[in-house]
Amino acid sequence: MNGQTIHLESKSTVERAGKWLECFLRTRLFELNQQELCVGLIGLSCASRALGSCPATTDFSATVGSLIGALLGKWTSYQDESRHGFIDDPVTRLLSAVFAAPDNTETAAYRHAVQEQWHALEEQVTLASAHHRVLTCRLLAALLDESPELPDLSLLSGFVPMSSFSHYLADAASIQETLEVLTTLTAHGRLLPELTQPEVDFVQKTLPFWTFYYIKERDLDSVCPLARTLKYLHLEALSEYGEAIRYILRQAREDGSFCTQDMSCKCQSYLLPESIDVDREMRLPLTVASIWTLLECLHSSESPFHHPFGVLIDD
Amino acid sequence: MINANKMTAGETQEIISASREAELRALQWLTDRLDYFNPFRAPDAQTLNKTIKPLAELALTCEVANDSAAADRLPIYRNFARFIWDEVFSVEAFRENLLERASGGYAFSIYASLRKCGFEHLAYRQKLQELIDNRYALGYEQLPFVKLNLLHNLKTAGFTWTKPSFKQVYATSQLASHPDLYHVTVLDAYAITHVLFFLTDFGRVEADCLSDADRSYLRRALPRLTEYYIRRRDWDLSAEFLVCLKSAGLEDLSVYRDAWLLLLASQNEDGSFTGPDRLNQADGDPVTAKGAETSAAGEKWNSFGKNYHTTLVALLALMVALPPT
Repeated sequence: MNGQTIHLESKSTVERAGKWLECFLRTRLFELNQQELCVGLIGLSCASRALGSCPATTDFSATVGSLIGALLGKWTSYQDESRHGFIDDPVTRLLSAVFAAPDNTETAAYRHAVQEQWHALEEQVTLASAHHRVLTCRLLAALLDESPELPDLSLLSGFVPMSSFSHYLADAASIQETLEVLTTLTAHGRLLPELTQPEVDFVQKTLPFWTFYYIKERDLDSVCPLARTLKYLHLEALSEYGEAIRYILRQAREDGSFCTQDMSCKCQSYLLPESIDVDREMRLPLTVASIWTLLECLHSSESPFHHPFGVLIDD
Repeated sequence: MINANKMTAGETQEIISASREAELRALQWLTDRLDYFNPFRAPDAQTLNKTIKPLAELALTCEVANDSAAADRLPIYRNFARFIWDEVFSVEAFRENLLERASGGYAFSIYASLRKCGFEHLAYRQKLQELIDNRYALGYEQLPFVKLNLLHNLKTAGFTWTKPSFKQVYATSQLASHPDLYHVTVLDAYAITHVLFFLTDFGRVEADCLSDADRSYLRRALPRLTEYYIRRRDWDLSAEFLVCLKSAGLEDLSVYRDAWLLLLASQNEDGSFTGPDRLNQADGDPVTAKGAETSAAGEKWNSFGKNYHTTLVALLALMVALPPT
């Protein structure tokens, strides 16, 4: 598949995924918690951005408005719970605001509200979160504030967690941490990070292998951040990057949602009908992760991180 | 990206000295469990089928050791071969059973391995010759890697045959079609390792039927698959791929050094190497397995079923795939 074909396929896949997501969110709006609403908002915002000037049938603004209404309503009604939720996962909250379009009254109000939440809770987030995550939050907040100054990302130097055998032995949590650090170091692909030679060697050897490994393991949840990180590091020439994109596109289901290992889910739901809400627990996060990845990898000019700030990479 | 990273002299030395200790401990583990390889001493009546494969694999390990084991360890392998000959193969009923199931290949493999270790049974050999002459053995429908195993056995045992050749069978194997690595399953991976085992006599001879394209594919595929199975903590396939890396002359890659260090580190305190759950071959029957769980003997048998193959493969790697000193 050549670049143009895959770009077109991605658009139609994102369109169908956006429609599934919109339908899911409208139907389940009042059941979802704040975290899930934020994830849903990220998904719809990414879909809108990726589709750009597509027909009005893909205008998700009404559902985005409902999501924002629900989020702001919960923020007012359940302040303690909301504060704890923000402190537990500030990155998702900030991302939901960064991805929301700034040129619409409702989304602008939401972005403003999240900015205020961040400024009110920054100190507590700093105490509760890992160092690299705090810097990630500061980066996202700077983008929300449209601040010309970025946090000092060089504080992350030496933070790529490498042990001699992490290539083979790193668990899912350490891989996630590595990808988060690299994502922040590149400011989501806008900066050329100053990596040490061992870090460069590690990245060039290990990221492609992890991508190969998780594609082979049919683990969409892990392939998405790996594909994004390869893109942020400008490693698109690697065969594993192309395979990751093709793998993600292949996981789109007929109804538009993204899922993986459906047979296992089906079997489990037959055996234990109460055990898993597949749409909510699997399709929602996987669909959003896939849409976000396709936006960043194939429609990056529409990404909020595309707008230049700081030191730029020559395109 | 495949990293070439030649092993340093210090790393080579570390692996060589650790491997010596590892081999002795693995051999002790096997010595303590030799009875589990004996179909006549297994704990229940159904175990003939369960023990014949381990027995053939132990015999194969002895066959390889005959040419490749270090001089001070060779007597241990010879004792194993002597055990197989005296306790099992010399029993007429066992030989008859092998011949009745000649299509399974063990009739040839156990004989070929024992013959390589210096044992001969001319009447049995004559019966195998008949199976070759009447075209039954070579005409039997088999997967290509199984057929290559048979050809390897025939060659080892000094039989002659006209066709098929190694090259003809290799051309029909999955490896010859250079499968997409993302689709390679565990069974495919075993097919790949076994094709290379039999084409190269476990890395000890050059495979003359591999083309440049095959070698280029192997240079890309073997490191990736080795890394993959190490990450899955599948020491059985990791050890098999280690032998394949050596067979394909890929010892200059960092994965070869890493695989050695991690394989050696994975050895259990009792000397065995843990096999993946799918290899719990002694535990195939859920009814007997349930009963076995209740007794210490049953647990020991299950643990043997799970670990014996990986322990034998690790020994194979220790004999044929160590870095040159």
